[in-house]
Amino acid sequence: MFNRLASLLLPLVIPALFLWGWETAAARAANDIILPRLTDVLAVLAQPMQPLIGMGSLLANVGISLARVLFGYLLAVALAVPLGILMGYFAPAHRLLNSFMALFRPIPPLAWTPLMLAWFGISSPASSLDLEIGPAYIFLNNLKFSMAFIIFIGGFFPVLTSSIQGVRSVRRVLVESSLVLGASRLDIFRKVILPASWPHILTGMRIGLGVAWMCLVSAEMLPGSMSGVGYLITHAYTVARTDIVITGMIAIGVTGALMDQAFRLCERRMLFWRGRS
Amino acid sequence: MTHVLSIEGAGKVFPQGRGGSVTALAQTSLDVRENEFLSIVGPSGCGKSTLLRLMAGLERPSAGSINFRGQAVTRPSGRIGLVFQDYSLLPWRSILHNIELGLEFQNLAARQRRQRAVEHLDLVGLAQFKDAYPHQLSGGMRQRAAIARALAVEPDVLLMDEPFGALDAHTRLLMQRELLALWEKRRKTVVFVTHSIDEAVYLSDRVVVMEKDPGRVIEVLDVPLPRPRTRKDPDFGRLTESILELLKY
Ligand SMILES: Nc1ncnc2c1ncn2[C@@H]1O[C@H](COP(=O)(O)OP(=O)(O)O)[C@@H](O)[C@H]1O
Ligand SMILES: [Mg+2]
Repeated sequence: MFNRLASLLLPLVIPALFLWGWETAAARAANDIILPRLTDVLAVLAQPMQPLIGMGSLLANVGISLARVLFGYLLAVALAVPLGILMGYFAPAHRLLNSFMALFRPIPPLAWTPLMLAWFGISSPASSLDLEIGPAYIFLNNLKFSMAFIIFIGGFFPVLTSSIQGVRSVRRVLVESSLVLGASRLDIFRKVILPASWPHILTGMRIGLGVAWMCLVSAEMLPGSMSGVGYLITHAYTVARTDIVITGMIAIGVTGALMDQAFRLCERRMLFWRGRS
Repeated sequence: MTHVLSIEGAGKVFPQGRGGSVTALAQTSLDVRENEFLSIVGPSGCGKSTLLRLMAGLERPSAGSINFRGQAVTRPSGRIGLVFQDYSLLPWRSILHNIELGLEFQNLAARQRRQRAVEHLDLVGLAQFKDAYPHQLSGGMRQRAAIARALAVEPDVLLMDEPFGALDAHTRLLMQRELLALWEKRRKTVVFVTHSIDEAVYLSDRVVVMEKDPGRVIEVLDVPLPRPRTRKDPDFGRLTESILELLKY
């Protein structure tokens, strides 16, 4: 009985200490710019639909950030998964591309900023489609190519690496036992290699989504950005609203954690056949 | 006497390290007869699996040739089945769908596939477990499913590489009896690799005895014991003894 209660309360100990430390420090600092009170931040968080410093509500900004991240991330998945499978399955493709990829992997996404601005400027799918007004324009114009690219770079490599790894780690006995049942090369690829690599690929996609989400703030600091939680943080900083900065950070943290949990749940559902081991 | 498989001077050398090589199997000649139960025994590393993989077409011989009904075996096909020791079922497929796998490769229509798969599930006594997944089954049930999967494509020869090697002693004895019953019902050519001499004598018409360094066949013995066999038969013990002697135990 006591044990159950203790294990239930255990995860709450550190957050409680943290919040207490924050509140004490804020009371002592007595300066909203250095460290706002916990209650000030909670007040902003309590009204997520309320417009903030002329930028629309917190939720609207989280929404636009999500759309941007998904845009860049889905591009990364669409490219990295097939490429990784190809590189994992087909040794010449690996030899051809691997050292080239290894050069790009260590470059932080943010380092691409000057090039991205030079190439894409502030263009977006809206400008490519020649839209100038309307709700579609407003939405699409927020998905700047430059931002999508930075997020794309962040998500691309984890997905690529795990796709290659997934294909390479398929157990030989699964391939051979299918070959002796009369499988063709195409059968092996479709019915053995692909489903067997799927768990690795899914894990890579989850990690990639996390990295893509972390690139958000860098991406939204680019010129042409007028919205999004990342931009909200930068803008709140320039108008000395530290409470909104912290609110934005919390929103990024919570959204990221929720996406990760949702992804894990899907993973568990889809990979039920792995059992408990 | 007709031969299903003829191994004619086949050997296998694997490259190893810098320019080195291992002789996994010295040049070997052996005929596998129609409908016989042939076992291969020998210590670990004597080339039993290599010999079986050559017969299955999973490995190409470095010398000599393997012929299946007069045609060189150059790659795996559905005609020569192979059952591995364990974990060869696709873990994301239910037992039923695992058994349908080989039938999908034959492009059989869905209804015939289902019918053949169910029939083979019944054959190995797994009808109740058709919707279970491999991780939910015991080792013995997984091997029954693997045998059913191999038989469902109706191969001419069934090769088995220590199929009961991962099972506990009790399950192993049960599976031996079930396999014999299956073999008597289906009359198929079986080549069975084991490191258990007792198992080989209990099951087979002939026993191939192998030795290592380099891996080679040292003797092929007939097992003239009447079936059904019992281990209490004094001839059973004598045969086991003579194989042990060949292997210098
Ligand atoms: N793919 C391979 N590459 C290198 N050496 C191998 C390979 N397969 C088997 N061998 C070697 O060949 C010998 C025989 O192996 P194997 O046929 O697996 O023996 P057994 O099945 O009787 O235990 C062993 O020494 C093993 O290390
Ligand atoms: Mg072996």
